[in-house]
Amino acid sequence: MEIVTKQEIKPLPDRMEIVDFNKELYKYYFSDILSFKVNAFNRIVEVDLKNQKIHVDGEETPIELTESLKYIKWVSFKRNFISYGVSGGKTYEYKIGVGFQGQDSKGDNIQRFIMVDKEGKATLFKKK
Amino acid sequence: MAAGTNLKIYTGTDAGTEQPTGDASNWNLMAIDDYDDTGSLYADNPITVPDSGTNYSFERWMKVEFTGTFNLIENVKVWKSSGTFSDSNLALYAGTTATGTTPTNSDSTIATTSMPTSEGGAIDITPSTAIDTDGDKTDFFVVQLDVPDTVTTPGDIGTQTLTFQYDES
Repeated sequence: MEIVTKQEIKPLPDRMEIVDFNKELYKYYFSDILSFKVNAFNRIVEVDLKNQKIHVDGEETPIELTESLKYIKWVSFKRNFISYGVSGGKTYEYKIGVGFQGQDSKGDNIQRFIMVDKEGKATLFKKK
Repeated sequence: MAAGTNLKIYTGTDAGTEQPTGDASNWNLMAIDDYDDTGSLYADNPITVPDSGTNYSFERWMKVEFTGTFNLIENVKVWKSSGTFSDSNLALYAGTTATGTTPTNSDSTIATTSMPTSEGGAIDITPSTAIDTDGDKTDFFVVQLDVPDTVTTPGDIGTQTLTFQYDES
């Protein structure tokens, strides 16, 4: 995973728990992060905060954003799914969510992020 | 380090008795207010089909406990992700609350929503206080089985699976 900031380019190990990756991102004041990349189930998701774009495997993903957002901040999380059978059995899966959020001209919180599952399926999620 | 989870079952006065010590092995619905710690207690305490009207299981009160080291857990939701009933007249109802009350085997006033069966209709059980420390738990998730007099198929109700979703950052 890679963070590009105004101050420095810092290479990070390819395999890193999302929680530890976020701790690295938190080290940089959010306005200093211009972009970052995540290897999520072998799909390379690049979040370009400066230009408010998202690329998956080098191709730009249409994110249907009609205006530039203020107070832009990166979003990076693990969405976990724990299943319990009524009489027993437990299974676990997770997906990686990567993107950004910000405020539009109306003051509404806007989110755009890509969710990648273990099959490598990358889906765009939008909030407003 | 990622968060771990334990399913907890609550019984007794004000749903104040938490079981087991670790992760619950089942959430069996029974005619008694207890955790099925053997996995076979439900067979000895079935909800019988009434001659008229509806019989109800005791409400099953649950929480998810988060363990280990993590920054923040958000967006905790739950739905029934798989399972068909042995009899189409059986029904599961669900609900959520932050405050425990004594489980009942009368028609629940908390588990009043038909159990959601898709992620889109999932019930949000995220508590108002942040889940950011080892041992923090969700709000209560309450489930009840309705057994009306129209049920004709005795025995196990069929495998039902609950899926809990949560975001970890």
